[in-house]
Amino acid sequence: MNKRYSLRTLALLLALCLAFPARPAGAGDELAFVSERALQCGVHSETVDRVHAAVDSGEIDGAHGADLLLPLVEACGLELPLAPFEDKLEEGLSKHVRPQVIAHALQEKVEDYVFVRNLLPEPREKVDILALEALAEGVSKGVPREDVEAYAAEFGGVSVQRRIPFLVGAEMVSLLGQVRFDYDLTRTMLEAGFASDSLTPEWNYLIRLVLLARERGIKDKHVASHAVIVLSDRGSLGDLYARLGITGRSLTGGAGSD
Amino acid sequence: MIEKRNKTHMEDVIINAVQNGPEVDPPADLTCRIMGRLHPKRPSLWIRLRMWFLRPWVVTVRPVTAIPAMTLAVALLVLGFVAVREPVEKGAPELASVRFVLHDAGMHARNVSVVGSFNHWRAERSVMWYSPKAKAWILEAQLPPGDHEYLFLVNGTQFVPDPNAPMTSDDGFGHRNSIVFVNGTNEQAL
Repeated sequence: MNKRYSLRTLALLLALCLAFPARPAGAGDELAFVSERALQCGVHSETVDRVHAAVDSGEIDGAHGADLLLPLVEACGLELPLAPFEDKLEEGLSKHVRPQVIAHALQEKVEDYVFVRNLLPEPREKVDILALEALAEGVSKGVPREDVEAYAAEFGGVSVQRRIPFLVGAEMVSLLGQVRFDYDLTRTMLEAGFASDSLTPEWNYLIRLVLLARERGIKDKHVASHAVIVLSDRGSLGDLYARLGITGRSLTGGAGSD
Repeated sequence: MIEKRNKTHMEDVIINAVQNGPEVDPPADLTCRIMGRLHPKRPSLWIRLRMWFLRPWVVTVRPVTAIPAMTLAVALLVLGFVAVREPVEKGAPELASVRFVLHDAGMHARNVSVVGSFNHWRAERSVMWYSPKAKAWILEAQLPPGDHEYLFLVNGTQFVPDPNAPMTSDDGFGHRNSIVFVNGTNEQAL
């Protein structure tokens, strides 16, 4: 009986001894394999190196390192632009966010990008990357999916012929949506802009005017109604500032300065 | 028939006279006279071009002039190479100057950096300097047009949103990033 017990204990100890070193070695192999795939896919070597540095420093273990790179490999397989994923991964590592949280955020981002790409009318290989990024980043930062869906459904048909206005509209939907600007109001401006072909790139920065107007107590509806008039007259964003009585002083000042 | 026979006979007589006649030396100046009467023939353009390319040149230089000339030629080549390369880089968006400011009247922070999407969230790339006059940490950066997410990193550990940023956005990790809008040559819109 004693002999049998000792053998069992010995076997258990042996199993434990083998199990502990086995996990890091396996994790290291997995990280090396995923890293290789990521690099082959075109993931920036700096991003991969950064994951390895976090593993080497003991901040995260090898298995988690592989988990961080897997969404990027998946994005590559889906032919999504890699830069937004690389940026989010590096942001998470810099902020010392737990690797599980980073991996989850990356996975959600992949889903957001796939969702938006499926809304765009062009075939996968011809999708405008900038429009995709603008809308998908908006979704990942809280823009309601139905707003993006409505924009793509109503104005997506013009994207092939009029790439720039569609891209500007995408930026407007994305940025205004993040500050909870009502999409119905955004839609009226977009309709006027597309109808008069006046959505020039400067309208990307309508968001800045909206935020300044809010600081001054000007209602979103008021901004939108004036914007519709200006866009219908093929006016500029400066014309809208003037109509709303926001002067040049308000337009300057920067990050943390004024 | 008779006429043809007479002609053949005459030819035989001439050949015989030439073969058996006395040999007389040509005049001494015969060659010169003949050559003098020959007018030089202008070769075709192609031949002249070919000769120009194939004819060896002898160039005589003095080191005192050759060395500066060679140096100048090399410098021009390098400049030309740089000038040719520049248009390729013009495809990149034009950068705009952006001033980041974090007020810190008591200089409580030991060091502050700006981390953001424009520097891969690396603190060491955008270290701010303290201005006693402005009582603030300051950094001038060159950014491409667009909206950029960023935070201040205080003392290497604490991430602080910019209190003066016009907008913030969800960072996906449960916090918010500040946003700066860069339009053309100036930060912010317009």
